Amino acid sequence: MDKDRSSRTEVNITPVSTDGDTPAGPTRRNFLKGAIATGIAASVGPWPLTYARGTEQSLTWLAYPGHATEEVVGAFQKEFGVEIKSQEFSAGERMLALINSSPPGTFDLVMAGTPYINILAQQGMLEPLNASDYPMEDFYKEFREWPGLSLKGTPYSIPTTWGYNGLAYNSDLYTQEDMDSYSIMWDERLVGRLGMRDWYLPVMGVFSAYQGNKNPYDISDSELDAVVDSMNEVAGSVTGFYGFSGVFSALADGTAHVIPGCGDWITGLLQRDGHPIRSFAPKEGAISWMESNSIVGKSQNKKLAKDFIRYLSSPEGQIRTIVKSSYMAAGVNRKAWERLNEEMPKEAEMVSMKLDSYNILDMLREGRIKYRTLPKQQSMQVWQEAYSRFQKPT
Amino acid sequence: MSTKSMKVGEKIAAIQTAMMKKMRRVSPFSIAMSTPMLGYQVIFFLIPVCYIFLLSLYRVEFFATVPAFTAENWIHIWSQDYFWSAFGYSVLIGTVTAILSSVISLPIALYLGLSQSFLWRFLCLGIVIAPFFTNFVIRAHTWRGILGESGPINTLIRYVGGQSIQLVDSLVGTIIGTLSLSLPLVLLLQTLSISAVDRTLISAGLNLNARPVQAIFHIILPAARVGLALGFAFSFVLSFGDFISPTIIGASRPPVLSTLLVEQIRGGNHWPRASVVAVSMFTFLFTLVLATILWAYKEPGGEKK
Repeated sequence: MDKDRSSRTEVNITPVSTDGDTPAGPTRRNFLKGAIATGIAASVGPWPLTYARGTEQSLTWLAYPGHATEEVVGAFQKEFGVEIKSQEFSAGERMLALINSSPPGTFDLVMAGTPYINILAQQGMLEPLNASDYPMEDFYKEFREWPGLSLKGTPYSIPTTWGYNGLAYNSDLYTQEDMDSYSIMWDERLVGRLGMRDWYLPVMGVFSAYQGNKNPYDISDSELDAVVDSMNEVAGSVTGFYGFSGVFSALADGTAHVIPGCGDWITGLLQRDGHPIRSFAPKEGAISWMESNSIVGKSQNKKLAKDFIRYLSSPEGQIRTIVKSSYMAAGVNRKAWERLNEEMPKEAEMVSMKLDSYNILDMLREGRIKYRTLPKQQSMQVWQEAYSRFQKPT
Repeated sequence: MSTKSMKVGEKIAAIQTAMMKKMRRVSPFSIAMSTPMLGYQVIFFLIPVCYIFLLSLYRVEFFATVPAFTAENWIHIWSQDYFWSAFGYSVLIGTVTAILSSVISLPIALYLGLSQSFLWRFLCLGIVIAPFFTNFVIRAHTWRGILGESGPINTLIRYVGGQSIQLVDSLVGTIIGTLSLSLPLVLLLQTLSISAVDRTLISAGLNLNARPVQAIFHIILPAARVGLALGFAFSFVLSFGDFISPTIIGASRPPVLSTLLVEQIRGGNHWPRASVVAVSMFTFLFTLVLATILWAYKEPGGEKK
C-alpha cells in the first residue's frame, strides 16, 4: 500500500510475570541478578522490540498506524483475553527494513500492501496458510484471487481491506463526469488548484495509467519518460505537494480542488466532517491498494495469530476496520458489505460500498481499478528521483 | 594619575593576570567542571554525527542498510540537480528569514533592552517566548489556516472586492512559517545582548552630543554585536533545516533539503543517501555558525575578545 501515514504509537510494555519461587524482598544477589539481566536484555537488541516480543498472552502485529486501536481490535482482545501490541510503520519499505533487522520471532503478524507481502513470501519469512482456515467462501471472488497473496500456488496472506487511488475532487466545483478522465488535470480551471501527493508511487501510477499502460508499474524506460513528460506538462498547475495531513487540509480549505493519487480512504473522512470532497476512478484506471495479513514464519503464537486473522476477516472485524477513525477502507467479505449497508448506510456510501448503486467493486470489475505493484523494470530510486525532479521548480 | 593610584592599578592587573594563569592551568577542579559538558558533547553530538557520517558510506540491499565503505552515495547525491536546487532554496529561506527576523526584532529589542523597568521587560519577554509553549506543528497548521484560501486574510481580501492571493503552498508561506519559528528566539537574544550594554557608554555618547540614532549605530549595536550575530546565525540555522514550515505551510513548493532528506528514506528506505543530505547540511551550518561566532567575538582592531 502506498498511503503515507507518519504517525507512530509507542509499543505497549507489559511487565514480565515473575517466577513464584523468587523471594519477594530485594536482596543484593537479586539486585545483581537484575542488573545482569538488564544488561543482557539491553545488549540483545532494540529495547522496544525486545519488550514487544510475543508471549502467550499477546500478539505482536507489524501494521499500519490506526489498526491496533481499541475500536478495531478491542472485541478480539476481550474475547480471547490477549493483548494486541503493535509496531507501526508508515511505508512498505520501512516494514521490510523493520522485519529484516529484527530478531526472529519479534513479530507474530504482519499487515502490509500485497506487493510488500509478496516480497516477504519470496524471502521465506511467512508461514504458508491453509485457505480453508479462513472464511474465504464469504469473500468476493476477486479477493480470493487477488495478485500477490500467493506464491507458486501457496497462499501466504489473507486480504483485509482495500481501496483505490484515483482522483479526489471538490464536488461543489466539479462533477463526477469531469473526473471521468485524468485529462481534467490539464483543464484551465485547475491552474494553481491541482494538488499533488508528496509520495511518488500513487501519483506516477495514475499518470502511467493515463498514458495507457496496462500495468502502470511495469513499463519500459521510454514509457517512464513519457509518464514524466506528462507530469511535467501539468507542473505549472500544481499548487503544492502534500503529505497525509496536507492532503486533508488542502482539500478541506479549498487550496487544492483536485488531487490525483487519492481515494475514498481520504475523502471518506472528509465527507464524515461535512466537506464536499469526493473521489472517483477515471476511465484510464485508478490504482488499487490492498492490505493483507500474514503470519510470520518464526512466530511462537501461530494459532492465536490465525484466530486474529479470522477475526479481521469476519464481518465484525471487517466493519470495525472499514470505519476506523484513522482512515476508511473497503472490505473484502460479502457478509460485511451486507451488514454495513444495513447498519451503516452512510459509511457504506463514504467508501463506495453501497450495494444498490455503482460501487468500488463495480469499478474493479469494469477494469477501472488497476492492480498495484512495485516498479518492475526500474528500481524504486529511479522513480523517486524522477519525482524529485518533477517537484523541483523550473 | 597619581603614583598611588598607579600602584593600585598595577596590583589589580597583577591579580587579574594571576587569576587568568590559574584558570588556564589544567587542574582537577577544572577537569571536573568541564567533564559534564564534554560528556554531553561527545554523547549527543560527536557520536551521532560520526554515526551519520558512517551511515552515509553504507549500502542499501533489499531495503536494508548494510555496512560498506563506499563514496557512491555522496557522488550520487552531489551530482543531482534537485539536490543543489533544494540546497539553494534552503539557503535562500535561511538568509531571508535571518535578515527579516533580525530587522523586525531590532526596534522591539532596543525598546525592551533599554527599558528602565525590569518588570516591564520581564513581562514583555515572557510574552515573546510564549509561542514556544505550543507545539510548532500545531502553530504551522494554524498558520496554514490563517494564510489559506478560506482563512481570514483571503476572506477579507475577497470581502473588499479583491482576488485571493496564494500565501500557502509557496516560498512566502514557508518564510512566514520559519519567521514565526525563529523570531521569538532572535528577539530574546537581541534584547538580552542590548540590555547588557554598559549604560555609561550610552550616557557618555549622549553627553558628547551624539544623537539617539548615532548612539544606536555607533555605541549600542557594536557593543551588542555578539548577541545580534548569534540571533542572525540561530535564525538561519533554524530556518535552513526546518521541515515543518516547508511541508505544512509551503507544501514542498519549493522542495528544500529537509524534505529531500525524508524523501530518500521514503523512496526505498535509503538511509545512507539521507545521511549524505544530513551531513552536507550539518557541515554547511557548522562552518557558517563558526565563522559568525569568530566574526562576532573579534574586536574591531582584529583582536579576539
